[in-house]
Amino acid sequence: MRRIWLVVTFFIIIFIIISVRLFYWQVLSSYHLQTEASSQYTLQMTLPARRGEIVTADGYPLVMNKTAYLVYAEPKNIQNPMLFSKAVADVLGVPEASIAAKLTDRLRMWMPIQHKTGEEKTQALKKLGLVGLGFQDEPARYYPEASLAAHLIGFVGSDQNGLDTGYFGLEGYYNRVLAGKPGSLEIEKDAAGAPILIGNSRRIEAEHGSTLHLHIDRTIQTIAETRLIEGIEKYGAKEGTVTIMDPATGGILAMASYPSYDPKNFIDYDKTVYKNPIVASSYEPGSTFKPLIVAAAIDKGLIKATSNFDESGPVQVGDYAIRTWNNQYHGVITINQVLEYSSNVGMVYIEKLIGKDALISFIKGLGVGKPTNVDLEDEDVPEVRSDKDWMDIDLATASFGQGIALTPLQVVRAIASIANGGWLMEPHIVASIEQASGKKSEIKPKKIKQVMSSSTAGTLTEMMVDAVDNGEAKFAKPKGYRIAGKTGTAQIPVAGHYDTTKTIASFVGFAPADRPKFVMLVTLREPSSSQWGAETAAPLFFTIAKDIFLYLGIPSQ
Amino acid sequence: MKKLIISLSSIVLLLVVSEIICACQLVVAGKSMGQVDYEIANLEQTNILLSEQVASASSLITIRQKATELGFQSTKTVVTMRKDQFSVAMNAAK
Repeated sequence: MRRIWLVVTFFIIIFIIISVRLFYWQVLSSYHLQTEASSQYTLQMTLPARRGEIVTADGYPLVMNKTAYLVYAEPKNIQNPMLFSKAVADVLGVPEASIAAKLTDRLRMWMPIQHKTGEEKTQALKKLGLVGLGFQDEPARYYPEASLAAHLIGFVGSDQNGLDTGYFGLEGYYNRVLAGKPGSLEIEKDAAGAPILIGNSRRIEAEHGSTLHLHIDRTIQTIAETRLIEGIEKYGAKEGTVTIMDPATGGILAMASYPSYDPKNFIDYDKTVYKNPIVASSYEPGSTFKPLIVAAAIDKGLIKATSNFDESGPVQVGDYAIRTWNNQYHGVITINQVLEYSSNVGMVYIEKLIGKDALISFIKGLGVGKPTNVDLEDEDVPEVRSDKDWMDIDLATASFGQGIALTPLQVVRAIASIANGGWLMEPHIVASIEQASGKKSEIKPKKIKQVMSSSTAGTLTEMMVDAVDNGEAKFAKPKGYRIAGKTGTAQIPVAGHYDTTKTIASFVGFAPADRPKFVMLVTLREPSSSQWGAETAAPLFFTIAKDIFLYLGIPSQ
Repeated sequence: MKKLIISLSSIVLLLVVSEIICACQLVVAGKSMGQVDYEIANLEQTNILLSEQVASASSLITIRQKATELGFQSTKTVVTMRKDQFSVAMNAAK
């Protein structure tokens, strides 16, 4: 009897062991086994989405795709790593040691050597016929105009998963739109790896990225960039920007800044240069802000262009004496001449007429302290002090554009309101988005609000035309054209005080004054030939304007 | 009755043989499909390469370079014509 029980117990234990094992394979490991089996008879692959292009207003691609290759090594198959490294390094133009270091682990099946390798280098490597060297297609961005509009475009780098991702500018802002959505393909395969047509298959098509059609005009952008670099060299400036906008639509026609970078080789540049200073850095606009304050007073009926003002000497505001830029005073002058002479004393008079609350309200109405909502990733908004923190001296200095910070784009947009009959526009880089299917969606011009009446805008236009014709920069103005503009020379605040030698010279204006085709702002940081906007930024403005007149076929009168 | 059975059997047999033949052909066609996919991928690559070449050839950088080589120079002075000056040509045409 005891033997029988032993046999029964033995069988029960064996039965339990087999049951547990079966449970493990059939329940716990079933998913893993199914996947493993499936991988043996199905072909699974990702169908990559093609990244969208970025196209200028004349239909030319600023950014497109090209075929590039991932060059990889198979250390296990390489017989002489030293010779292999030297041969590959010579073609790729990289240090031999960097490749040799990747081949030290001989057991590795696969090791990437270089991503996004161009066609020429890849063909040269293929000709070497090295065993253990492989290539895999991968998309890369191609810039037919090289570094043109680099700050505006941004660049494509890799995210933490090694996937292409847009950073900065349009590539960053519209990353999802440009990237599209990859698809997938799962199909049964035969022993040779060829797909079996009668087998099961599941195909999800890739949604290719959309193409961005810009307001940017390729020629105007090239003019702006070329002339800006020439101007920076000529006037010995450290940095500079040129922003050109269509006042009627808010569309950005060109945006150039220097120093810049090459989006193809962005990794070779300092990271500080990636941000677009036109939307990411602020400055005190100086006298270029004056027409806007004058507009506020005229709009409220407080003054007229012909009203008189006695510019007899410095004006005292609290403990501070406000002087004119050259400490010269003209006696009784008109408001029109306040702009022509760029009189700080006259601006303080106008600011006092407007009053604290109305002035703050007007400045805020211009969008100061708020983002412009331009479609660029890097926009950064300088803060504005709260209403209760405005002291008399702050209001006085703000009237001539000091003690208040704006981005160059904010200044252009505000001045554009004078050019377009008083409307504050939302600036846009992209005019329309075209899906891969061909469906196009327009981004319509957006009027934010009317900040001054049409008649005030007209009056200011004439005052700005006079400021150009009779102001300090009249020597550089192209003959036969009516250009409305204003120079600006703002001191740079350093550690709580203004540096007496360093300035940001600027000129803002629009042309032709009667039917403006463009509003343009030129800024030059710390020009060494002269610190004044009239002698640096203004001539550069007029040089660019002349080129644009020629390009757009705008004749002189 | 016998005829009916023979006819039905023949039809069934014919269908079975047809299915086997079709299935065999489709299995082999997988290879052709692979080749077609490969051709499509190749043509797409060629298209991308050609687009790249067209964009490169029509870039302002290339145009400027070629214009300079051909002796073109940027204008220093611009001459504009008044509307009434056009009448010279217009009158000549009359």
